[in-house]
Amino acid sequence: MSAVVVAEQESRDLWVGGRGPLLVFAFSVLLSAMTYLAATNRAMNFLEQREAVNLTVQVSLTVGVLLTLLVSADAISGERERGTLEALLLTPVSRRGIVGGKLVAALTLWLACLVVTVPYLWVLGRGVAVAGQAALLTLIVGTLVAVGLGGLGLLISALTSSNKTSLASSLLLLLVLFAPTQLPALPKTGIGEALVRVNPIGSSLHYVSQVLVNRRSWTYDLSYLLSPALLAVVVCGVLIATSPRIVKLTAGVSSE
Amino acid sequence: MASLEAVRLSKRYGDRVAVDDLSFVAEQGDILGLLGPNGAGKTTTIRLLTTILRPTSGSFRVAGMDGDDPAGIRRRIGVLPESSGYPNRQTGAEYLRYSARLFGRDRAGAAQIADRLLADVGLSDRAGSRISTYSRGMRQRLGIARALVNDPAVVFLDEPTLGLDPAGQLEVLTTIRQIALHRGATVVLSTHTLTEVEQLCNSLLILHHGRVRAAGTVEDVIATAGRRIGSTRLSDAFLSLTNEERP
Amino acid sequence: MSLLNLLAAAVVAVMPAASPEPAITLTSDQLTAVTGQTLSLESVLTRPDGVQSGVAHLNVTSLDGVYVDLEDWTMDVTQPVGPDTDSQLSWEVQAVNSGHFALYVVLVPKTGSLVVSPPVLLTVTARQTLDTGGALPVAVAVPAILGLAILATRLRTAR
Repeated sequence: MSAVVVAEQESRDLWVGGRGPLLVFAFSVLLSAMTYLAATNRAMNFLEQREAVNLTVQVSLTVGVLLTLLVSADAISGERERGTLEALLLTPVSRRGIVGGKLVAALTLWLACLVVTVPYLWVLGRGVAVAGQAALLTLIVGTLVAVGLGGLGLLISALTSSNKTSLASSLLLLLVLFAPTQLPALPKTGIGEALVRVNPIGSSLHYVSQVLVNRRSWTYDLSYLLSPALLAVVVCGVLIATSPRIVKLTAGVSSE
Repeated sequence: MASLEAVRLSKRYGDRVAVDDLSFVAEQGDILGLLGPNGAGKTTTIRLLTTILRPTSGSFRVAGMDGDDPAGIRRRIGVLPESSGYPNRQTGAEYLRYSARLFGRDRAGAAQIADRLLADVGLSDRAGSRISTYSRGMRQRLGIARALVNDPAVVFLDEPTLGLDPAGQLEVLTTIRQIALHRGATVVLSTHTLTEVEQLCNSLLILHHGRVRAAGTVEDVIATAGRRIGSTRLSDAFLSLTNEERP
Repeated sequence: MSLLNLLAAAVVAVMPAASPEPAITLTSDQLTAVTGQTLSLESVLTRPDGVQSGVAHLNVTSLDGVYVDLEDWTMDVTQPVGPDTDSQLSWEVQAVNSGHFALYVVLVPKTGSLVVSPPVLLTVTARQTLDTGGALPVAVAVPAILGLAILATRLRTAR
């Protein structure tokens, strides 16, 4: 119950006068620019509609998860630096409740990004009836990735000694995971396939494009969702197990 | 039964000793002054007793709860931490409502508590203003109000008058006196200011390098230390007790 | 059946058969698409000796003289072929330009000469897929609505 109270207030802090609306506004500007270019630029216009929808889903998923990761990376280290963490730790709310509430609040940013994405999916997917499928796919796959990476952001935030370090490490982590997806052509077997499968972002983007562009069934490459699902489960497990020891006034895992 | 009891409480960070073999007792309604120079271990002592830090050795009881039940202790204490930060975007009323809800109150109950406490600390007229617009004194009073949202049996105030002008100090000290008088709570007041202790506290603990240098009523401490140096002033007693071992 | 035919059949039966050459066939010989469409193509390698290995390469060539940048058309330009690999290979091709094209697969064996499949003739018709007129209102409206909502909230809390 206390986790719900924390989640409510953290979400309120994020959305009422906080950074949430500005981040989502910036996100919408990015999607608008991309959609307009895709629809008007002659070089890009050869894109099949399904591919344009897929491109939008991929940008939405990556940027939405990036924003979620940055909010969660600030959640503990930021409160430490602002001097507000001690007051929270002095309440009877369990450390797990605090972490759970903060993760849920960070995930509201991802859900807002998803909601903002829907009109773009609709306009790009008109005529091929793919927008609904794409939105559902983004909700499921994106939420898995957002839970995993958002949780990882919280772990980094709890373990790093300054907020700057936490934000920089989280950003670096996302870049490391995102960069391989932009390599021109990884081999589709052996090490190349393993690299895609092991990377929660790479494997998620692969799965989404298989369903949206290649019209595979949802179960065709389902095994590619193993890595984001595993990341989400493992990170949540680690948070549940370690939060009583790592959510504290000073960074680190030693007992205070 | 003692409201607050520490038995041979110690906290070490590697070789560094922050609190060493600390033992003391405070009764219900006491205002216990925690005095000591910078680095004496006052904040560490408060953080140990409020379950923010775990002791290296020793035991303690707060408000009838054993030290190994941190959640139980946190339910019965109120704390104004040293240099506490405040969420600037929240209003004073929102801040107190949230705090009350974290202690298990429903929305309506939390709103009632917030209104009452804002009135108690003289902030009713600024209840709807953002905390970013509050003066330092107002923030400290808001912090004290926050420490009272759960109607605590023991209240810990770490340097509550730090950085306040004389008028602000007076407001905060008046509020502290009322807490002990009207609520019957035990107050632990950590401070550098000896006059605050003389005005408010009925018992005193002087710490130096993490160790207790003197304990008892203010009069007892002055009498014991003053006898050796021939003075009846708390400041002389404090200096004699904390200068001896200064490296 | 005449005696001559019987004799010929007996000769064929006792003579050692000449070793047939490896061959590649494609699952279709004619395809149509619109620009941007992704097509799947299957090639089947017949390996009589069973151990033919090398590299299979897909090529696209324009029959109208249009420049073809193979990397834009497919990421599966080559696929390894070994003794243990499947004889059937899948190729995915995206029709990038409009016009007439020939698609074919070449096996470059470790030893011996190239093995080339018959071409698939692909006709791509141009199509403007995305609705420019429809995209612009959404691209403008969404950030505008969000921006106005933020502004309104900020003004209200500032009062």
